[in-house]
Amino acid sequence: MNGYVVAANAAVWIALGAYAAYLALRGQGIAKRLQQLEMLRDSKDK
Amino acid sequence: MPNIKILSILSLAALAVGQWFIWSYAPLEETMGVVQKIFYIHMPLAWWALVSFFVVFVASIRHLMKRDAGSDILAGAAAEVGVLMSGLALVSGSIWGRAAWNVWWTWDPRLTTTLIMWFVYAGYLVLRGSGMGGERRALVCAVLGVVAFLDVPLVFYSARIWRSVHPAVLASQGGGLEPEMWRTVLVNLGAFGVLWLTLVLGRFGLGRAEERARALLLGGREGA
Repeated sequence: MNGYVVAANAAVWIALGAYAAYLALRGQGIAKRLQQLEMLRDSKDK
Repeated sequence: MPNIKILSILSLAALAVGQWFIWSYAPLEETMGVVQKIFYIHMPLAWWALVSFFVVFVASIRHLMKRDAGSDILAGAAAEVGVLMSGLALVSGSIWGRAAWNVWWTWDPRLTTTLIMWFVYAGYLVLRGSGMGGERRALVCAVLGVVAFLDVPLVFYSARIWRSVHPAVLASQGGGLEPEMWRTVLVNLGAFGVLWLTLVLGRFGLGRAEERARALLLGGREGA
């Protein structure tokens, strides 16, 4: 396989994969945070 | 978000089909050989980056008219995906250039306008992340989102307006591509389109959740 083709594909797929993983992990983090904040708000309301 | 999960699976499947078209279906180009296959990922990346910036433009106009948070979040999401995709188009194009023209970079109109566009939208993202207050930041970003779009048609037409070493595939009829190559281009355009939609919607959902968390946090502080 040609080195240029490998380099271009590696750059593209690693970057896209890393961004998708970042979105997924950050999404999980923010979902947990939202749950905590909503529980806190509900406990205050009571 | 269940829709994002379905879209993610769909985009993975579409990209896999696209890869099959690139490596098994498309014939080997006579002069460039296997290096030409970079084109099948380079072009969809550049195309969807331009679509991203068009979304930034439309969402920014909408924000200026209605001042709603959703438009601002959508503009930010599209800009982030656009900067990623145009950055990757620049990188893959540079690698292609080294193989085809024996240079990593040349100050060609298409390349130069694309680099300027990348810097403008990277600046837009820096501005979004700045400590400027919420509504004021959204307003300034919306204005920049509209003004920044001026460069996008220049990028698109640069290879036709000025003398450019960059091929204008869509401008010339058939672009010198064989029918199998065209089909591969279209399949990959579609596959990257599904990926683009997944990333933009994913980032938009994340932005919405962040906004909600901020509102809950502020509500809690005000109540305390």
